[in-house]
Amino acid sequence: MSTHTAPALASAMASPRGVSRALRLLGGGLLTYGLPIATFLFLWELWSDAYGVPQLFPSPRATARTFWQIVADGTLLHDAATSMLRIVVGFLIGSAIGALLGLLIGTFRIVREMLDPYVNFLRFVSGVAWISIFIVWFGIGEISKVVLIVYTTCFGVLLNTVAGVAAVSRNKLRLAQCFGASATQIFFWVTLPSTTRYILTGMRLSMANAFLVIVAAEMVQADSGLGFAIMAARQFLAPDLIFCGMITLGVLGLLSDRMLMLASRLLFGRYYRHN
Amino acid sequence: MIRFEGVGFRFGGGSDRPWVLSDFDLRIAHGEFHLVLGPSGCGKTTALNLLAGFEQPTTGAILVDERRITGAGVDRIVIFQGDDSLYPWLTAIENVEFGLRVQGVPAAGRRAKAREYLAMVGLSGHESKFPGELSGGMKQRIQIARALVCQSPVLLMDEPFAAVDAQTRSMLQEELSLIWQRTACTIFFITHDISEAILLADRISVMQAGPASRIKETIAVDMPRPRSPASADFAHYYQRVHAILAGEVQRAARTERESQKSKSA
Amino acid sequence: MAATVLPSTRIPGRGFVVGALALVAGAIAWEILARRYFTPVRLPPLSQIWDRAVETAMDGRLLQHIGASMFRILAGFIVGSVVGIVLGLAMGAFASVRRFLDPIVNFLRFIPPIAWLSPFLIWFGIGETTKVLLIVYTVTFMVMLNTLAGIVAIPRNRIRVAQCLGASRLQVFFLVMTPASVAYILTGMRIAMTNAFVTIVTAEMIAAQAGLGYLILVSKNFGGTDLIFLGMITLGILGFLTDRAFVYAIRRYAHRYHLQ
Repeated sequence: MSTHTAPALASAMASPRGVSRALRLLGGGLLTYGLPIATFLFLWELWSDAYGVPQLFPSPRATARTFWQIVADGTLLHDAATSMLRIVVGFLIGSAIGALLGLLIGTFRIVREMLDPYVNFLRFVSGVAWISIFIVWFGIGEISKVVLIVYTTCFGVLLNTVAGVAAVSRNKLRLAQCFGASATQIFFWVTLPSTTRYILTGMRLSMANAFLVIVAAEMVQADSGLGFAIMAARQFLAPDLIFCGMITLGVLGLLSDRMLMLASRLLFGRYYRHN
Repeated sequence: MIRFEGVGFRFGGGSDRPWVLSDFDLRIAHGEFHLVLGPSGCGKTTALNLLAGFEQPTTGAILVDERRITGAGVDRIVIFQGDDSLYPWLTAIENVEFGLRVQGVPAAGRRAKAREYLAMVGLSGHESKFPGELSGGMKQRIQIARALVCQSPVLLMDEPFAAVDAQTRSMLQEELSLIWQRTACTIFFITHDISEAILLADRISVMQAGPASRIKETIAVDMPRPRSPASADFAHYYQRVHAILAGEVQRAARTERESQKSKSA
Repeated sequence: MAATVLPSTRIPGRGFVVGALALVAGAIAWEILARRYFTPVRLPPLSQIWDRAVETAMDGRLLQHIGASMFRILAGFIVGSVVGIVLGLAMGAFASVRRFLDPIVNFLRFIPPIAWLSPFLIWFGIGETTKVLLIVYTVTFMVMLNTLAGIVAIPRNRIRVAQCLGASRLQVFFLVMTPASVAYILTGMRIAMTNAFVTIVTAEMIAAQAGLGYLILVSKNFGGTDLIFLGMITLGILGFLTDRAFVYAIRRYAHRYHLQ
């Protein structure tokens, strides 16, 4: 249900009878999500009571109280916004570069063969491992973090894009050749539309990854952001703040993912179609 | 109008590769509906790919109107088996007008023409549907319309109706026959189905079993259209073609068994 | 969303030669550029990194770091795979389990493993447990999602055949579902292994005294850029070798499950 709700919702809203359908889907979604989350909260409450040390393992209610506090005094908003800004900027730049490079690499087999060993190797050194180098190169400010997001996003989108180009079925290309299409026409009118789905998938995966990476980067070197906040909370032995940070991360991540999916379907819906 | 002259073909990369086609000769006249029939693995799709220009012959030449072909062209459009040459992100009408778009025909003009040809293949009302929403038979019709709209003098069809159910196949064969009579194009059609061959063809070429195959025999089908599979003439031709083909089918099966044996050895 | 792109496991051919040449060319370019345009702190030449590698290998430090990281990775990988497979199979075979866990899984997916570092540190201390647990978390997720995808992908007719032949629910589970999802499980494990390497750096961020991630993070504080690169390169090589070993093991022992 989870991965299908958003596109179903979007298409439901598109049709005239859609509003009631959309509402029903929403209701169904709430039930599907609501019940297990309620159970999860209930179990959490039990566990924290059983643990007995509220300073180490706060109950949901205590966490909620702290959550409300940091929302009210604006610190949560500030940290969340800082992290999100880094993610969004890095994500957009990285996706563009990754898609372009991926299309290039995918189209020319020799380029792919040349870059293959590097990709195979860099797969294991992704993300956080680069933070040290980027700090050495770009200092301790915003740039090093944004560059990190650019790098990890570019990597993920690139891999998926290359796979997408490779997956264009031969007959699609051959048909275009029959009509006398030039290489440019084939690229823009066949390869690119075929690969769009893969690029968007790569972007979606990279978005999720970006959250992972930014938090680590902020834990290593930052003075603001959710990662920094979580780290600071640990140093002050405030697990309720840690939980708040984690929950915010989860919610933001989920929201970004859903929004990205919705935007993909609305803008590029036709490129997801199969025959 | 189409001539295969001493064509030989094997896949590149070394002289240890087997020949797919060897000494392949064939002549097809203007406006002829020509069928190539053969057992599986005999290389009939390769022959089509060579004529389409997707591959180059290793030896010999293929001439269309006395000119050697050098690559794919809009004068020889292919209709593929299955639907993977249709563009799923384009609607039916957008798929049909694709060729015109490549050639730079302006939007209004090509839209009108595409609509006309969609009507010709009986798909009026389905213009805005995507291939994913259409049946197999409809998708093949889109391919036909797509080829016709560019007024291609030669149509290459690679077992186009093999993936469709029997009733739809029957309908499509009938419609293709009518379209061919109306547009007077030349058709190069591949199949493994004898009935289909006799139903549609002016001339049938039966291929040998592979490897290194060539045309074994060509016969003319001298029946008036529309043809009825129930007629005595039909049965007579069927027996003739079957006799020519049967030996080749057996040889193909034997080759397959032998290659399996050597693989597991 | 479980399936990620994996590089192909091609047999050496022209691609291999081109790739190898590209690596050599890259190495030479690095050396020349580093010497000519950069300070050793910004971009140390490869030769310097190599010297440092020999140095730390000789005095045993390199092995210490490798050992520490590999232990955490492997321990986390094994535990995480087992848990992930069990959970994935359970979710796949029993709709009730799936319905219950699905939203929780989809929510937790976005909380990065490092975010769990802080609570883990508070609950489990600064020892090995925390670091290994982080790897376990990452691996479990990936393996579970892929296992589930494997079960979901089983053509319904395979199960129907077994039912026709009179198999009980348990027999269907063990004799049909489990073997059919092996390919996906192994793919998931392979990806999880990659993630483990990626996560180890995060896991060693805090209160570690040894490990490649530790090396990478700590060396920036005293200008040891060459050590940073050494750590990254070693990590990459180890990851690559481990992956190859995994692929080889799959081909040797599980090829009957139709893997590529």
